[in-house]
Amino acid sequence: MNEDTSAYWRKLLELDKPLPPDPLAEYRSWHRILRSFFFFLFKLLSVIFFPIKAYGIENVPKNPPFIIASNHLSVADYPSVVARLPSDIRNRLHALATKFFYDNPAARFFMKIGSDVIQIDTVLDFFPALRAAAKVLRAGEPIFIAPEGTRSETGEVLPFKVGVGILAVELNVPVVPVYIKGTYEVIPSGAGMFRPGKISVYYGKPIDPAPYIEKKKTAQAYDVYKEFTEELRNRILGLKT
Amino acid sequence: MIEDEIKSLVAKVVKIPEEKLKMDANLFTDLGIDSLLGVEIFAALDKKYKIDIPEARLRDVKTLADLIKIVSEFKK
Repeated sequence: MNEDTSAYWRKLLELDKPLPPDPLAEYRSWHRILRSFFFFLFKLLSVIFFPIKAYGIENVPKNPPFIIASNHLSVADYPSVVARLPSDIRNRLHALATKFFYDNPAARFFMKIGSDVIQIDTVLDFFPALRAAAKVLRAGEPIFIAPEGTRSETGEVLPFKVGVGILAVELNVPVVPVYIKGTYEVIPSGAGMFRPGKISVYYGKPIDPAPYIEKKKTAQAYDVYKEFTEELRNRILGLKT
Repeated sequence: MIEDEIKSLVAKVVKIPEEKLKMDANLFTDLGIDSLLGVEIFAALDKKYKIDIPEARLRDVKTLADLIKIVSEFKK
């Protein structure tokens, strides 16, 4: 197998198709007018009830496109990761959210305030979501992914889905590994209200996909995507220690 | 024989010995192939036979026999 299989992936992701005039229009909604207020409120609550310590935030590139990928413990993960980012990056981030959450009206409302959300259906069909994420990255915007695909109930970092590797390698965009600690204690799964606690967010150095793009010339594309994804998981685990 | 060619190609992509690939075994539940590796099988078939299998047909494939049927259909 050689790079030729990559052509099929590019076709699936529609990477050679021209972008529409306003590629981001379908992800924008009126909810974004509340975004600054939402993060102001979140930061205010965090100062009082769940202080967030951010380490290595300077590792987040200033110029998109890039992917931020973190472990997933709680609904508090996304706001905790992005609250301290510069507002221009925060306002441009597109989060990938599973249909499970998106179908819940309250969760959907808050997600749309927090981010221009891209909905993923991990059970029936994830290609439209991968295509949407690819389109956003091609438009020069940053995206946020939790590659575990679901929240970890134990705190252990679960195996990662390969989609993040496909996007990074096919679109040649760096991925910032992020490790989050403490959000599960602040908002556990199923809890309607937050609890006092401490949150730590560790931002690692971005992973450059260039060596993997080179590897793809001689290896099966899927194996390279998987290797990139494993490296990302290892880097996130490395931030834990 | 196209059956043997496809079986050999699938074995190579998923890194499973050919003798373990049964015609009616579910590639995903019995052999533990994830759906993205399933796409890689399509990519390899696309490359080998120069056929353009629509993405929607990915969902129709559960077994090696399904795969052979689809490739035969598109090769015509």
